[in-house]
Amino acid sequence: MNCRRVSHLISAYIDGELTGAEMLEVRKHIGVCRECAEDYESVRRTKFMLSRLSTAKPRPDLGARILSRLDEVTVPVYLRLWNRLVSYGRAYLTPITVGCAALGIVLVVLVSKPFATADIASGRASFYSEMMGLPSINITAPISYEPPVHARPLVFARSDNPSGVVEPSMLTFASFEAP
Amino acid sequence: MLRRNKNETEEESVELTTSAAAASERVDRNLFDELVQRHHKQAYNIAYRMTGNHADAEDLTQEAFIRAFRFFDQYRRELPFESWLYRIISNAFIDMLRRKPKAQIRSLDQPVSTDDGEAIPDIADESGGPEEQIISKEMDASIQAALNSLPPGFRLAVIYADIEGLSYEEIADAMRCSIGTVRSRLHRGRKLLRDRLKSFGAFLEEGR
Repeated sequence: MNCRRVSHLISAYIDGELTGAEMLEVRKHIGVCRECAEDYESVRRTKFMLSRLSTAKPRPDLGARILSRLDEVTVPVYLRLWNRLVSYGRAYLTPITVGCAALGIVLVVLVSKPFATADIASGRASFYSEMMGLPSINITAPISYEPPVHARPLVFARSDNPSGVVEPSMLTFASFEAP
Repeated sequence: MLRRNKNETEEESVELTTSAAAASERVDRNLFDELVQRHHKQAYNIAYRMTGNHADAEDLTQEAFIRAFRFFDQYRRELPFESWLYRIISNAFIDMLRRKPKAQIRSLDQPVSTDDGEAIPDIADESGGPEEQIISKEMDASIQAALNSLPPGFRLAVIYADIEGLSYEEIADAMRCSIGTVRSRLHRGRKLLRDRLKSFGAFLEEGR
């Protein structure tokens, strides 16, 4: 451990707020490094001086004055209700319950989302099915396609496409309608 | 007849609920009064070390207890009141600085105007026996001046750690920051304080 690192840990060392291994290392370093030992001693004295400060005393009637000021304070009903709500929230909304609720919402969204959605413009089919490792596209619903001038085809994608990428050459014209 | 009965019972039940609410308010108020009596001196001492003068310390203590009273239903009774109060005082102090930044530069020796005219702040009169009283009034004033020169975040951390004797976890809770932040604020705060005290020539060389 070098002096720079020890200098950063000195305060926490004095407070006993380091891990056992860190405590030992700092102690060892202070034993051999004079500069750090002086640093340690001066910070320790600073802490000691603060702990020796006297207790500042209020005027004897401060308590009574606070109480008389409280008489003028009315807590509105909405604030009382809000306070209750916050306090129940703090008591019962532990990180675990919040995590479980979040997980539940994610699951519901994933399950309710249709797996096969195709986006011709980007050529990607079914993000969700790819993500979940399911076989790629299987589109059964007609996809809108820019109609030629003379005909309006109904377009189906082929279901034996392993890559999940839809290209115009894969599209089959199933039927034609008169213009 | 039947209708009248119904009205009567309704009135009765309304009366019951309002009186129950009033009773619970009274219980709360009694409990809170007790907490004020028990904790206001400790709160005042912290407020004094934060603000560095008696007038602001009084304001801060009162403000903290009024806030605590308004939000008393948020206080979870199974936890110690002090830790909740620390949070409220910290917030109230930061808000106070925002409102009047001059609160941090008033000198200790400046007379404070009180209801009974002006008074020089009275500190360092702890009746703990002569051997307990290591810090003199002058030394106390120097340390307070050094504390006043610290940035507020450092000052709060140092006060909580070295005057109130809280653990890093408790300080993090009071200041709503991480333990890592507490650690670095204390590290830098104490070093600044030490350098300040050395420059005042007020450093206790043989203190043990």
